[in-house]
Amino acid sequence: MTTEAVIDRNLYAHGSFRTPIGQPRMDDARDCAYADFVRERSHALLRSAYLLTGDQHLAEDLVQEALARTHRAWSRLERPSNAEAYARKVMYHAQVSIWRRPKVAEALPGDGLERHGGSVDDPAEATVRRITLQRALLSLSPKQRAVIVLRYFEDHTEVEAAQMLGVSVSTVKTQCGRALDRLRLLVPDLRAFADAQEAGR
Amino acid sequence: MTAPDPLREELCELADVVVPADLYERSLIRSRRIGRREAAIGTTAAVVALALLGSGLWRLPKGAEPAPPVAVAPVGPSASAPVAPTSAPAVRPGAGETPGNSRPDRPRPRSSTSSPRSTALGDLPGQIFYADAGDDGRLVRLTGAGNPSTVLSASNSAAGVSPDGSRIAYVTDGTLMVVDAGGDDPRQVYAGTASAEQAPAWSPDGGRLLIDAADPGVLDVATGRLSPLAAGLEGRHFRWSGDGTTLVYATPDCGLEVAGTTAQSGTPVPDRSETDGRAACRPVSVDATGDLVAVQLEPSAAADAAEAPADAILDTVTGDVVDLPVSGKIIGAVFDPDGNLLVRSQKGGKTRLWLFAPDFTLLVQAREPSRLEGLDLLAYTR
Repeated sequence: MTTEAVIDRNLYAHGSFRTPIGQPRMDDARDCAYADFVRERSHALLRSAYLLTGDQHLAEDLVQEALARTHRAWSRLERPSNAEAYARKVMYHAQVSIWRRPKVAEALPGDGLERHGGSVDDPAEATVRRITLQRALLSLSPKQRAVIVLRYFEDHTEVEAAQMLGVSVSTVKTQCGRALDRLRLLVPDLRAFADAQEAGR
Repeated sequence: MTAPDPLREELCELADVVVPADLYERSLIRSRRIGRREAAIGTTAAVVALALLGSGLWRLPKGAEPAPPVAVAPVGPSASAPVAPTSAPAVRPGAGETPGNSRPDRPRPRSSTSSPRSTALGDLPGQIFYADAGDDGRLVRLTGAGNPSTVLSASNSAAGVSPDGSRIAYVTDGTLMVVDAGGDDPRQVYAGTASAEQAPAWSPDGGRLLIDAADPGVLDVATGRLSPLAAGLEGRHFRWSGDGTTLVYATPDCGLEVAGTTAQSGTPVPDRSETDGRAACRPVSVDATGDLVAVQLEPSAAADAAEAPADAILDTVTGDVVDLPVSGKIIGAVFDPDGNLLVRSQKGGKTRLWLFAPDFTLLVQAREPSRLEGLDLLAYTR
């Protein structure tokens, strides 16, 4: 083996798939699958992470960590389709774990609100509504916020949310109820919704 | 869930704010860093092992080791006297040389079921605690005398039973409470804690509680002083070894790690293919030395998976599953502080309790009272 080959092998011993000049090193299907997974699913992960953290950069950090852990576990994942579930699990665990000191935005980013998405009828009103919701979300505990995102953004059942967070279903119910109460308090537009949820318990 | 609902729409609109980012390179760089860190940990362990070998410690004859202290005099297979559990793990050379044991220096069960010293429930020493998940965490205690009794009506959270079985710690409305088993006068010992990720875990001396607080750490029950854990110990569901020197816990990405109580970081338990990562999310209890950990491997049928009892024992050094010579399906397994292992199994509609000494001698195999059906094995104490 040439010296260059040895260096090359060492460089990628921990799973890098690209050469130093940025060319893909797709020497097997597994590497391609990981690259495809990141390309196709990272934005979806980023959307959830943004709701969890309230900040673009913190969301990117969170997804980066989840992807890195997923990359390290890639060989143990039986199917690439398991990768997203694994990455999401890492992401939620990392965010709700008090041992990791979860990070959330300290100041609300307002710059991006006008540029991306929004209501078609009144942009100013939509912006205010989003800031209100974001502020309310950030006032929740990390676990409450995670439960709300899992239940009402990702449409998971209580059992699925509990499995994702590694907590009991009763914990999910309790946290969800408290979170909805707080959101109803802070976001007037959601009062009717929260009342309906309350009636349905 | 009914659709459309305003909360979902609002969340989707809010998520639209995020800007797409290319995280491929960043994730690979981070992955390499994690790999280097893991390699460094492995290297450190190898250096320590080499240093031990070089120091000639391995030449010490096993017979020169001090005999483990015995708290209770050994009792023969008399049906009238309780079988005394061993008070410390007795490492017997050759005792663990069974097929599949990758660490022959450690005691491991024999491959076939052996005859128990007793089949009488009355010979089972100590106290067994069960949780009733369907009744707000009601706690029930069973002793060898039979007659299960409720010792806590509703903890509403995962509870921790002290090593002597006399006190129960639980969290209610963010407050850590301690109550005498069977008593009705709980006292508040700490405000601002939770139990979803960390049920209160008693230290083997019964003086401290490892809790999930704003400053996570070890609470001195007598003084109320909280000592934070080392920042490098990132995890949840911490459990003490019986000798109080070791912690086993789950990492945020569902791996198991072992650390000394004063260590700055933990050592990963190897993730074996036979466990398929399933054990990673919650250790249940640890033996006397931190050598073995009870975990839940099979996906729980119960909805409350986070409180589900253990169904397997893992070697924390090799990650191997220890084959237990138990007939039927294992529906619970816990160590007591002295390293004795209590296993609960179910077969043909009957539930049995198996008590193993630390060297896996089968001390008692007895039928469990039917009144405990449907409850979860929580703890086994002195």
